[in-house]
Amino acid sequence: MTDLQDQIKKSLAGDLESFNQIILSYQSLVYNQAYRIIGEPDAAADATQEAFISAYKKLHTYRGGSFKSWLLRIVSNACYDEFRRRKRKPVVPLYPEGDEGDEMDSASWLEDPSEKPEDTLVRRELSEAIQFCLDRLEYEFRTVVVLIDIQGLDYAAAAEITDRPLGTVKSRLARARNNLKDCLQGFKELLPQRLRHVGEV
Amino acid sequence: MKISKRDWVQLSSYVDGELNSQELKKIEERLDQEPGFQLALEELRQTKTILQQTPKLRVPRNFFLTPALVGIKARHHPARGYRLVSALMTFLLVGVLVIDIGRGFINMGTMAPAAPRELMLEVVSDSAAEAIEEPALVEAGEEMAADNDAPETEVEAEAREEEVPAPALAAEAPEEGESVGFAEETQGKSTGEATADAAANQADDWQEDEVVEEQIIPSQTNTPESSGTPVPSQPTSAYIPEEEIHQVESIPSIDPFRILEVILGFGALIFGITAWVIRRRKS
Repeated sequence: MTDLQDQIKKSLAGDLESFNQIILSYQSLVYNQAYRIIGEPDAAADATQEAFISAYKKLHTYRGGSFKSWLLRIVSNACYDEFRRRKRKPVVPLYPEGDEGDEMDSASWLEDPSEKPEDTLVRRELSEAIQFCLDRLEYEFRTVVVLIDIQGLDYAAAAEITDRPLGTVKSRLARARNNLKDCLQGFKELLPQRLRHVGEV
Repeated sequence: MKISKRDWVQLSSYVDGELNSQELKKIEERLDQEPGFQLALEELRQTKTILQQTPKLRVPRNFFLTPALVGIKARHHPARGYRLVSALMTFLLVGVLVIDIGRGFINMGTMAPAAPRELMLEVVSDSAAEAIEEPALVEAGEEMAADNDAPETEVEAEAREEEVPAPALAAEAPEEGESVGFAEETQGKSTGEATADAAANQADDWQEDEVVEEQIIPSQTNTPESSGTPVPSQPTSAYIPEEEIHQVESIPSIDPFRILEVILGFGALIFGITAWVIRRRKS
């Protein structure tokens, strides 16, 4: 029995500490999924917490297979609920702003303290550019492209998570990539050198 | 070159290797023949590569769950109840001790001195001694009455002596039987009336014979004190009810406050030790 299966078994028996160990292993995956879909740090944190609470309560419905896919499905549902809630009350800016209107630094952007400052800046600007383009996609297309291109899932897993047919997943992914392609062209200078000249014939 | 939506889907699937053999063959033929198709493919690959390099964000905090978050009621530690009871009993013990000490201070302020009790005992002993001497005084009084008064007939004297225990006879009469007792009661009544008269005569005799008593006692006792020294006046006897006499001689009862203190003290100790043992086992 693997560690994950042992932790799931103990969690089903009521051991909350075992489930917290599972959270420790998957909270980065879940938070990144939530943030890339919702686009706002606080809302992503709320959705992440709600997703884990829901996962604990529905743990008995896990029938084996990919726990990652099972968990991401719960996250997607939580993100959809949060997205609809914020759509009804659109008040929060994409990024927190300071007194002078400039963007405030967030600790979530500082990934690696040992990284060079110029590398950190490049990564931060790239992340912002990608998020900027993701926010311009419709919710259904955004979810699919994040699941497949950012989280690395295959078409079947994405279809299971979104509860859509395989053809629908293919179609939404293609459309999302096409739109992102055009958006990212405007941030060409932020792209790595080896990616800047692609497409120039 | 214009690429249709279906072409984009085919190219996107081709990038991910999600085409079947038939679809794959068609796409590869078009890629060889149409440069624009090849360019579109490259752009899709670039987009996918960029997205795959999206920086991973660090979580702002841990998302650990607590019993409150998932609606689980906190399980009370079993030792907690024992500690609570032990603390409560200790608190009550302190309260009882304070009340007991306060009660002691109050009693010390209002308590009568011990001398009167000793005097009472002395009076009791004196009255007991006098009670023993009374029959002798009665006899002496009777003798004096016989000498001073008009001579009685022998019949009257015998009747008076017999009348003395008449009340005792009258009291015993009902025990023998109703019919018999009735007769004796009537007899006792008539004798009782005579006894009352005799008792009144006796009281008068005693008063007349006070001086005689003082004179008789020294001759009867023959003590060295009675030889020449004047006899000190005897203290007047005080009537002590029998209940008080028995009360002095009875065993003192246990104070209920003491019992309460013992119970609370032991209870607090036992519960405290039990809570400690449970916690040690739990850890």
